Amino acid sequence: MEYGSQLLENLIKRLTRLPGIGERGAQRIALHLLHSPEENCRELANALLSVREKVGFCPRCGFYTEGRLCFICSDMRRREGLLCVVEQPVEVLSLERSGAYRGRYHVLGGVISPLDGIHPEDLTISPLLERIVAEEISELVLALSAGVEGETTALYLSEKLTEYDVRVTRLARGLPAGSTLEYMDEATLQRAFEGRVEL
Amino acid sequence: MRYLDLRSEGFRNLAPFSLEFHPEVNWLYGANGQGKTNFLESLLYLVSGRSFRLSRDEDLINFDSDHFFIKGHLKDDGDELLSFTASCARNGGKRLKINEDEIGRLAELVSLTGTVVFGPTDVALVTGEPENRRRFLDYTLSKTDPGYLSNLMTYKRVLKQRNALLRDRVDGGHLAVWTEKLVDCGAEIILRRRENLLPINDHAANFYQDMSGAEELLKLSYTTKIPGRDKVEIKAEFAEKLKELAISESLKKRTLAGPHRDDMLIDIKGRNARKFASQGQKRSAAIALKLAQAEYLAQTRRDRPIVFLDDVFSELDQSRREKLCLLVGRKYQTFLASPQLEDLRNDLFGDFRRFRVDCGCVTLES
Ligand SMILES: [Zn+2]
Repeated sequence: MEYGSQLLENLIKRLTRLPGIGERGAQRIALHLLHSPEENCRELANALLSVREKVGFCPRCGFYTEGRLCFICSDMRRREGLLCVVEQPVEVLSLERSGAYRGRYHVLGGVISPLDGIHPEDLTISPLLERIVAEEISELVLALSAGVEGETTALYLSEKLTEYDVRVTRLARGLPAGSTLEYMDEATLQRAFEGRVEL
Repeated sequence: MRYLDLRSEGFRNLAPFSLEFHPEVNWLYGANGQGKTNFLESLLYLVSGRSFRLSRDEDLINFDSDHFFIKGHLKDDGDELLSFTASCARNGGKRLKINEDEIGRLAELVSLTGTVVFGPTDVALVTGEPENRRRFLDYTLSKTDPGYLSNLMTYKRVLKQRNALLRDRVDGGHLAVWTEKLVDCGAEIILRRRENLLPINDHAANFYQDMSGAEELLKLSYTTKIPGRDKVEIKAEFAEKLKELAISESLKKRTLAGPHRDDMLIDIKGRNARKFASQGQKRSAAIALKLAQAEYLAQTRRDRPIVFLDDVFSELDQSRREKLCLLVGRKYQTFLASPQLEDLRNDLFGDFRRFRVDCGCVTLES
């Protein structure tokens, strides 16, 4: 028992499993908590639990929400008829921060990749097609990652969409290959939106 | 490019050294197992960021050390001085720098320097499976044709995905998009390989005559099931071929046509060298191909490659040995490794540097 306490060691071990936290970082956080007022720790623990219990995914677009529809889907000032398709909810955050886009979103849940056992039916493609009709979508912006899988998924979607009366564009190739939207700075994203190209 | 100097610590079995090189010929001699190939490997590692023997980085670290460090200065043909640094620690911390700036992507490093390695197994270029010849073309083109490598990587990834799909289920409704991507990248590869093979063929034919001394004609041609005059036609033919093969593909569960199954045919006097040539002819042909690669790299990159001859002499008679050395030694900076002093005549090159390699110690002989 290096730390003199099995409980402390256990906490550090759990923290190490979190993304972006190494052994040293985990130790710092654990010791910081140990020396903090009990109240702070209780609040942190509650915050963790309530996020897990109360935050879910918007049944329409797949973004995070506490209620039924997310704040974006229920925002009446959003441009109607415009959808941006992203892979994961976290990418909605990046796009929202950039302020370059004022429409609504659709979270696909990933990209097609047979090597990882991900096929079109594992993604929210059918719901997307239903939304296009129900919400009278006239333009779809595909904001998928620039790798082989992202491009092939875009190709698959654009072929599915030929039967629909919808303009399909994709973010300009300003996005460096292999990069995900999550790590894009705001200026890059804004440029990508301005330069989006027809598919 | 040429090496001016190299410093190394903790690399393989090599004792720490700091050496300056001759702009043309650098001759390493010493018994096998003393460290000649390790020495060549360190030179190649610095300009490519990986082992040419495909060893893992960690396996390059000396048993008694927790890291290796290599640093060298090179000059390109425009006389610009570049400094390269490579280091790797046992815990996996690998760092590559050019002019003291850490590089982000390996491609930044790899694109700078052309290298051509002659090894004892090169005869497989002529006698071995088609994969050897595709790799020869792919390496040459990725060094000379901008965009070739990234397109090839995309093709390989699409091929893997398409094969995974064929393996798991017959279609899944999205085979068509993978096929479309495959055809698009694949047609580009076929076209570029075919076009670039013409000048490579001319060089190889010349060198083959130099090596064999006879009026024997060497001819290279690209063989594929997918014909076509331009990219549009190749794409159409490729798509058609895959359509024909649809049933076989669903049975065999993999992609059955495309540049990953093509070959480069080597003819000598109009006959397939792989099947009909003599041992001597095959060896000369393999050397001619490598020389053509060096020449093509030098011409298209406007910067001469660095040439490495790793123990190629044992397979060659005296006259071929010396011809090869003269053909590369006067043109490119060359590092040649051989077990014995008698392998080459001392007066073969006007001026050169000779290094003795013994128990991991590399020392300059005056
Ligand atoms: Zn929503």
